[in-house]
Amino acid sequence: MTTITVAERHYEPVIGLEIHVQLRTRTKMFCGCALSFGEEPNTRTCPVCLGHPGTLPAPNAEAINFALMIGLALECRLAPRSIFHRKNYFYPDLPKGYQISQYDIPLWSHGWLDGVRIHRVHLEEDAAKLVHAGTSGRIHGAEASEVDFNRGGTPLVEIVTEPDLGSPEQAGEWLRLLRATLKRLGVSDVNMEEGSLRCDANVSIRPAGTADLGTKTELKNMNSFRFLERGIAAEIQRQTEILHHDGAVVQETLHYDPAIGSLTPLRSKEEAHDYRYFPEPDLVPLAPTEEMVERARVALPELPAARAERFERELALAPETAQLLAFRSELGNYFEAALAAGGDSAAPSGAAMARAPRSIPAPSQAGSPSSSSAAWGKATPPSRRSRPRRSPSSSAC
Amino acid sequence: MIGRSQVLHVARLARLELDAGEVERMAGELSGILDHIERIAELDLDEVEPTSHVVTLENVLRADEPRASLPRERALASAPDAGELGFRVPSPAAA
Amino acid sequence: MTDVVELTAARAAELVRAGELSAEELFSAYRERAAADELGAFLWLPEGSPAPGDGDSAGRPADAPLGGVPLAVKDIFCVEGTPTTAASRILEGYVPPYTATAVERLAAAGAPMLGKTNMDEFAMGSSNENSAFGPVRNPWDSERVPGGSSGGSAVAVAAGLAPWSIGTDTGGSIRQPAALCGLVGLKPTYGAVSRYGMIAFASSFDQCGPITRDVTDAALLFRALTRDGRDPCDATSIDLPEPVELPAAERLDGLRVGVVRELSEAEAIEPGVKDVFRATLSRVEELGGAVEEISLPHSEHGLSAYYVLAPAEASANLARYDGVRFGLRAESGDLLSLYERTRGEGFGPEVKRRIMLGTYALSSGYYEAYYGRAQRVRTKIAEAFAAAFERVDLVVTPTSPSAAFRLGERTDDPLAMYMADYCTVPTSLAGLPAISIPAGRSDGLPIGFQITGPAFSENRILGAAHALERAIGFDSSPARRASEGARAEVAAP
Repeated sequence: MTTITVAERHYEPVIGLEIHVQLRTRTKMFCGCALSFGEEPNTRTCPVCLGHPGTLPAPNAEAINFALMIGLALECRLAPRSIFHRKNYFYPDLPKGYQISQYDIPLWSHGWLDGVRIHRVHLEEDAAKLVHAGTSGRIHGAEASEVDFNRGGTPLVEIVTEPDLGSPEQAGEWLRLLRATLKRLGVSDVNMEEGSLRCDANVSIRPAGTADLGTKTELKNMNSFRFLERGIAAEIQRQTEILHHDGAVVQETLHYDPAIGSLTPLRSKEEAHDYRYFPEPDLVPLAPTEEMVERARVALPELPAARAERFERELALAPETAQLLAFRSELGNYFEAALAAGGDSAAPSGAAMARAPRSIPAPSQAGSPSSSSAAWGKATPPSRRSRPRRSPSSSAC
Repeated sequence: MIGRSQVLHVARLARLELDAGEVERMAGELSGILDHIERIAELDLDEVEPTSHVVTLENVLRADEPRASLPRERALASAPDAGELGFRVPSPAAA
Repeated sequence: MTDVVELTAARAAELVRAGELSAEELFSAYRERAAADELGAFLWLPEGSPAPGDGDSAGRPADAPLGGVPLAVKDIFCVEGTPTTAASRILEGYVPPYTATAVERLAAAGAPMLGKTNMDEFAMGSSNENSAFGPVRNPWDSERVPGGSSGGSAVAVAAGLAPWSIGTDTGGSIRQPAALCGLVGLKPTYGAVSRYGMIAFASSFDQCGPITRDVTDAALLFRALTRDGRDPCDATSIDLPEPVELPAAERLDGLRVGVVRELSEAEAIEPGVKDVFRATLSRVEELGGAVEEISLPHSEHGLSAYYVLAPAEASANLARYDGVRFGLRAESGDLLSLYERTRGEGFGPEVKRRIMLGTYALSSGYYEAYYGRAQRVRTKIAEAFAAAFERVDLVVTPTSPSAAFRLGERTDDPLAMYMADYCTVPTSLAGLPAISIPAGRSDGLPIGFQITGPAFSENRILGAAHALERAIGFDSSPARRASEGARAEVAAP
């Protein structure tokens, strides 16, 4: 945990992440259009994902399967019965004028990954893409955008953490682990530059050692690990300065510009959104059966955390080394390949370590227990290995 | 019970432009309707589950099999203003 | 060609199958009549005969279950290549790139589309005075409304401009116009018929159903709509537990019929309607049915719950009409005015009212008080019906509190207009099937009798309706003759 000291006052950052993962299904979330990878604009659309009158959503079974796998991998608690909701707002990239998402009963909740609690995991559909098109004389000289609906309707899983991260580096490292985990599952390309992994950060600070949460801001537009860490660091600095001058942090959404390192309040999209959530009447509830969950469980490969434990246990690697190799899948793969080629674990692991980036932060530590959200019924703070594998709520399956 | 400023707020949420006459009429009409609807406020409904789905189906899912998409021209055929890349709109940033 | 027009659709189909009537002749005869429509029933008619693919593509109409008998289709159903407007300015000129499942299935079964009928805009209304393209007039009395929102479909059949039609019912929009026009209207169990391609008003209420001259015709269409099972494009559609039977019952022996006190005795029900209703109950008893009065607690609050839930769903369903991808786009500078002006210009007053109501009911701070409570009332009403069906086999009420009222009579009073749905809305809230059959006349105007059953009891309902229809012997021909220029007979029955 990082502590920032300014003029003898110590602050600690509190960070939570909101991650959107595009799923590697063959078709979109609610229609049979094939997913698009750089096709010509508007060539992967149909009446449903264009929001034509009279169309209805048809949920993708594989997207649900992938979402089940994600929740299992993140040791979440399964909702025996979850429903979809409509999230209503107007924007050109939202053809129906609402996004089908999940609201108060998400598919998964109360998860955990390497010391960070997962608040919720749910399914939703992606928006389309707005492309700036320069001025158009046809719109009275105003700036024009053009909408490409190829991406619209792509299945997304949203993962929201509790504010358990204590530094930009820790956030970056944890996100790398999440990314490795999801990649291992085979459910997503998880490529931040391409947009199949997107991450916003909720950032607040508080006097060191206190438990109450400060006002948080939401940071958007960080499309690489480096920018994520830099953006969070910049925001922590900004908030620290405000508090240092006895000001108050305003709850807002900020756009991070990595080129100049600036944080700008996003035009509040007219007003604080009133999304008017209500249950989606065109869809029926999801009540994952035992078969569905078992199918997802059986499809789980060895995940990074388990892999690290195995490296420690079977190969007597030091915990730090084991974790590094397991959490960075490229390193782990290199290591295991070298091992298979012969030799004991020392040389390959040393070689693997040599390939590792120079500035590796300290391994993830338990985030500071947050008093605002109850721990998942455990007396001790979450720690990396002590948490036993828990099967999802068995009552409904 | 629903005044002018509330009407304007709701109209903005719904992206409906109402002229002055409409705003006034709307306030009166909606108030009348809401008064009538208010009767359900008197009912004792504490122990009752809300009905969010009328059919008792669950897990209605579609196989992840691609189906033909619309050709680009057809997708854009209804567009009020079709550009090179897609459906043209005034930029949100310019709003 | 009056002979042809006097045939029910079932009879016409029989004649086509027997080779005594050609499907082309039948289509032309109706096409001609529809083209001469002066009641505002049709919004669109195709040029010439059915386009290729409109009839039974698998073979001759004579081989198809519905015999090539042409069908009037409410303009709420998307039909590929055909202008589809939902009677709204905001969709003027819109041509869908796909066809509604219901229309496809009926065409495949041998009922080609005759034309698109007028309706209340986005199915919001009970008089068909809310169309952006002019009101529809009742052939029984052209100064009166036909009911709504499927007014055009009802008038097309009542005036002999189409042999049969399909409409949609959200709070009564099939049953009430059927009642006001002296026809049969069936609202199936929610989920029985695919909603794919039906322009959505209120998703958890909307259902497609037939408006026909008699019960057998309604059964034929309902069977054709459902025989292929649920629609994978509609996640809320269900397979029927049993196939649809063509009704043959002539008696009601052993049938327990419950009269809903709250709905049938209410002050809002006009005396003339009550008279016809009571007379019909006597017929039920004459046919061997056992009539008892029952209570349906909370049904008197059905309208209130409905007018929160339906507008709320509608406010979201109509958000897609924003000038971006199809339909009207108003002159505007920035994005906000694009939205606001397009929607301000494109939607009529009733639609705006309901969007506002719905948006308000869902908005922050009001959700629990309105939407949340209305959903609970919905549960109570569904429970009340379930309890009723432990005691009786069917539940009956008048279909509409009044006979057809005059054009313009209620347009300034939304609440008075909403009252038209008083008897039909509880069934919609519970998702149950119901039929309206013409039961008699009051001051010369048709009065409907509504029969509701448990979920998927359409066979039972159609059977009972068939027996009652025979006993009542309602004559719907005056309305057909009226459209040929003769004045409708308005002598008391």
